[in-house]
Amino acid sequence: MDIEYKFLKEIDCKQGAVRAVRFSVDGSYCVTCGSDRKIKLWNPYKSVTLKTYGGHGDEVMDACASCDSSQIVSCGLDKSVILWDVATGTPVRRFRGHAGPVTTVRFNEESSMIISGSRDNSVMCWDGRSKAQEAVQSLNDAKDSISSVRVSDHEILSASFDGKVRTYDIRIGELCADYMGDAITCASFTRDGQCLVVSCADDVIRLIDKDSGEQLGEFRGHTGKDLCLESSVDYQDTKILSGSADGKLWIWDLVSQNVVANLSGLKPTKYATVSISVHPQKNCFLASNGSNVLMWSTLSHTDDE
Amino acid sequence: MSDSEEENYVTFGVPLDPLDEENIPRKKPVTIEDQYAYDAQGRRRFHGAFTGGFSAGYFNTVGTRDGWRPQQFKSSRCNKADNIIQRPEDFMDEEDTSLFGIAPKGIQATSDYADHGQKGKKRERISQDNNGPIPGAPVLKELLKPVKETVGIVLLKKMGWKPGQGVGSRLTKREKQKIKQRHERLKLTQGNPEITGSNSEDSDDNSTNITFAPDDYEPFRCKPKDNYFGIGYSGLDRRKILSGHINLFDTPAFCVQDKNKKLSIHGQAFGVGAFEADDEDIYEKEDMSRYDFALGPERKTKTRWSQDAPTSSQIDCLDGFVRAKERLVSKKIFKPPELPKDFVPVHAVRKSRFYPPIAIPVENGKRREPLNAVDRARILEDPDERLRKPSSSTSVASNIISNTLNLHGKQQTEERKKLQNQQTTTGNSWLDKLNAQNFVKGGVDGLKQNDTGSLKTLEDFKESASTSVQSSTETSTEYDPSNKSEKSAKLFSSNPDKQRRFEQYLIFLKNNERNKLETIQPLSMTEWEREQECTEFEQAAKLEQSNNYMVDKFIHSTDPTMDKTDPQKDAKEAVRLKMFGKLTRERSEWKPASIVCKRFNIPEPKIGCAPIVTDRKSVKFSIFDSLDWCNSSKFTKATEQQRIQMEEVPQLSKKTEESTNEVISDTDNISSIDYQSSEPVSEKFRIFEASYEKVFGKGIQNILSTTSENAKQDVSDNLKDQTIQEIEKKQEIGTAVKDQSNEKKDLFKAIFLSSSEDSEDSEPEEKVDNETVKSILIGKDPKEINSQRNTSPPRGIFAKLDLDSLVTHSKCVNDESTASKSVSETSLPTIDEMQDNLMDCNNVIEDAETAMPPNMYGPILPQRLLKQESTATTEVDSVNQSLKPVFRSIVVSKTAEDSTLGGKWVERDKMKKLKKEKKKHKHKEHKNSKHKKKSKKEKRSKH
Repeated sequence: MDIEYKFLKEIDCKQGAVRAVRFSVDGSYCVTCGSDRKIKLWNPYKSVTLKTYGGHGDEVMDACASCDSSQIVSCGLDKSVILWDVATGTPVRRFRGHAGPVTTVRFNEESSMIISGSRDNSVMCWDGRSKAQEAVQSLNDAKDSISSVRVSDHEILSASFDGKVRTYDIRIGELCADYMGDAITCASFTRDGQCLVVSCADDVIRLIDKDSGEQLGEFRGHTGKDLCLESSVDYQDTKILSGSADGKLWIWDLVSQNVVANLSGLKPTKYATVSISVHPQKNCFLASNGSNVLMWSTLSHTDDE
Repeated sequence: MSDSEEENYVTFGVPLDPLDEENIPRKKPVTIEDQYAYDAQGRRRFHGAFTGGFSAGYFNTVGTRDGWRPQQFKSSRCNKADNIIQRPEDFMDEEDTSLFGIAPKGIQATSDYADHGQKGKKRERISQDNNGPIPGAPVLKELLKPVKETVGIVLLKKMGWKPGQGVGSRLTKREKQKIKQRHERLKLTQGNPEITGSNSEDSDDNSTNITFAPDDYEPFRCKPKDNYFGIGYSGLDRRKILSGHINLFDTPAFCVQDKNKKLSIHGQAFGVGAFEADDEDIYEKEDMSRYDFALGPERKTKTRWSQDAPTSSQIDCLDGFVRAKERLVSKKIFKPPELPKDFVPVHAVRKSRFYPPIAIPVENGKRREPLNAVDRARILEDPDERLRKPSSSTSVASNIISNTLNLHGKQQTEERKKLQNQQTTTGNSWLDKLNAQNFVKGGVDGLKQNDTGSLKTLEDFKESASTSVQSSTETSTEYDPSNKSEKSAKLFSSNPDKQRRFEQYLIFLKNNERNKLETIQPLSMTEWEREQECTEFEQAAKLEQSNNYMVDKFIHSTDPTMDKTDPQKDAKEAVRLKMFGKLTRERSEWKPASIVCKRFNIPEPKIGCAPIVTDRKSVKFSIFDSLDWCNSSKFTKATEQQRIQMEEVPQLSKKTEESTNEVISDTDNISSIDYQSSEPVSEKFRIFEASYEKVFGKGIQNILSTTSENAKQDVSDNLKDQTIQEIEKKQEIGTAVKDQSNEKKDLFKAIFLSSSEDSEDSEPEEKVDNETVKSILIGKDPKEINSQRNTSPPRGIFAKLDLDSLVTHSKCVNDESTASKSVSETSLPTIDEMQDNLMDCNNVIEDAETAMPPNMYGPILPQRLLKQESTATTEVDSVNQSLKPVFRSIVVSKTAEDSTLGGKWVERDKMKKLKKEKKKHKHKEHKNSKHKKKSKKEKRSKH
């Protein structure tokens, strides 16, 4: 079972530090959030900038494209969440409800609702359809900054620096908080939705069973250095990916918990790899590194291309 | 005759046939209904009023049955439409063009031909055909002019008259001139500006026989004023609109000549647009001729109505007025005053009224220097201490003060050491014990304060008492006050001098020398500032106190919980052991908003459920809370400290002994001492004693009050004795060594003590118990006794001192005192009897009184001692209504005790129990607190 990862591309985004890189829903485009208050829409395969979205008052921290790729939602240190029209590049809506910098934002499956997490310890749900300015619901359970928010079809997953992963089950109406011992930098669902991949600040990535809260696996080796590293599973739920302070993309085997690969670009970098994004339909990874975005893919898929 | 008559008359014409009356046809008059109007075609119709009106109805339309039809325009390649010129007649009925229609079309002589002269000219229609090659009026028309002379003129001409001449006999030149002059004079007087052109005068006037025709008569016309306008004002000209014939169809054509081609534009131009604000003149027709087509100076077109304008402008004055020949003397205009040479115009504009006025620099010419920090502060009105006082002076002053303070502290420590030594020597003396149990340092401090001789208000005293307690605690742990000052929070860290002063203030506070603050305040400070700072420090001190207190509290409250059940800790432990799962998981209710469910396409969970009640209490700590605690903590601290400082108390008690006189002199002090004198007596005993006193307390009080009969020095003795008694009694209680009274006590105990703990809850029950007990003991009707009973057990020694009675009833007490000496131990029942007898008359008042006294705790004087001492009789008491103040003063001690209990830190469930127990008493306490104040007031006023 030898999987080779091939370094495909390095794109210099030219928008300062890239805070986040996100594939679109179909994986054909990606969005990068720059520290120069701009969002850029890319065709990462051709390294072409399609559009630049400017309107944030401060660094853009996260973005997410809607399911029909007609809208992009972004959030930034200016405490606002902005909904963009992709085609025109104009902000459709601007939600100002957070009291602190907004660090993470996600659409729900239908892209009708926007969930954002902020350093004001709150997760807010915004209705993208109505013109209401206020948040539809505010989840104020966290005791510290929200580091990541993920949305499944019926759950909202929020990770906080207070060391707890909170799963809000809308279907049951239940909040489930799992204590992880240390600040959590990222928590995400696996593709099958049964487990949670939780990155802790103590340089451990934990695989948590969603239903029982038990730990299924531990992944170590990377260095955090108090960075808000992101982690994810690959397309087939067989690997765990994580950024690292050493500027590499670490990949573990989910079952054996062994390090499979440390991916890096051609040039050695002094920057850390913080944000990662996995192609929704194939094993193609994007990682932000400084002002660049790096792209890897498994060999088999690149052959197909 | 007839013949002759007939012959005489000549007849002309043929006579009519005589009327055949029978054959006259009977003509019915035609009724109005039968009268119909017919038109030319014989169509029956009503044709307006007489003939001029329009006929209505569908007949009266243009041509067809459907009326007027818009013209069709059809044009094709082969069949080109020719230019059809529409005429007004196309839109008119036949009748309209008939003789009586609106546009008659018959041939008739126009006015030009019908009339002659000016009148005809007016009506002349200018039917110029400008379309011809020659512009202007047609030449032929000019040439062939119709004859317009009237018959009169024709006749005159025939008689030799020529136009331009006057009518009349011929005149010589002189005559003619005379007439002319007369005319002119007349004109001038009338102010008629019209100047007639005079005939050129012939120079040769010698020929007198030459006669001339007279001048044409010029009618002199006065313009009558036929309007109400002001003089010289001519209103809007209405004639323009009303008199002119509005030609609907013929618009004046606009002609432009360009390159030998003449363009003529017909039709209305533009018109009124929908967006134009107003149509200024709806009757005015807009046509192209009104537009400028070339750039250049505007030409004035002469209109019909603008004829008058030039004449009026020439004259330059109103109608009927003459220009003045002499100019009016113009007003003299004075020059404005000249400014002095050195005047510099400066105008500083304030940006807003909230800005301070900008100070104009006095120095001329000099540029304003940039502001330094001090200036800015001044502008901003920053209350910076540094500005107010020179730093050097304060530092010196503060140094001195701190030195003295240190000295003071040293003195204190020395004193204390001495006292401690003394204590060790006299450790076993009863006085120590007495003081240990009854006094805290607060009282002593109060005394000290008294030594200084400063007059203190009650509040001040209270505060000092509390603070002194605190200070005593602090000094007990650390003798050097400077240590404390270092420790104190830097509340005024921004202002080091102030901070220093605050620290010193804290020290003063500890030593109860608050007045000394003034001495360390810099001289530069105003009185107001001093006061301000004083209050500021006071508050800060309180705050600090509370902070210290809160720190303690937090430690206490958090520590045990952390140890016991901290889920977080558990979870942490679990994480450490990698036992994720149940331990690290917390499940809780959460209700998603309905719109969230909607957007997620999920049915809303738990619809109809009550909103989740989170038992998480939002605990918010605010400064005010802490301040509140600070107040309540006074008492707790007092009691706690008391125990801690047991060793210290003896020495203090000595002081009290020495200064008993002073104690008496200051009642507030007494009460405060009492206030602090809470003893760690077991609950059981306290209750027992309370109930005991309820039964027997009266007698004791009687005795007490009798003690007050004596002069003040006596009282001090009593005081001592009583304290001794109390201490002894307490000791005795433990050993249960009793005298005569003990028998009763024992009995009472036997009956009552078993249930005494519970009975605290229910007052009425207790009452009944007491009554029964008493009745058993005394053999009296319980009701009678009840009326007089003191339900509030006296507590504390000084509380029983009634100073009021000292003043008011000393005389009668003296009378009774001799008799009272003979009172034996067995006299109690009799005393009660006597009381009852006396009280019967005062029953009503007494009831009211007895209702309010609260329960009292604390030791009472043993009967035996009382009797030994007894200089009092029961009668004295019963006579004395002044007993009530005694009760009141007792109350003071009780509340103090209660509050100490309330302020104690007890476990929660315990507290609840306590609360239950106290429920009963609380309302009484409130009442009593009122009375307490009252009594104090009374005392003060009496002093």
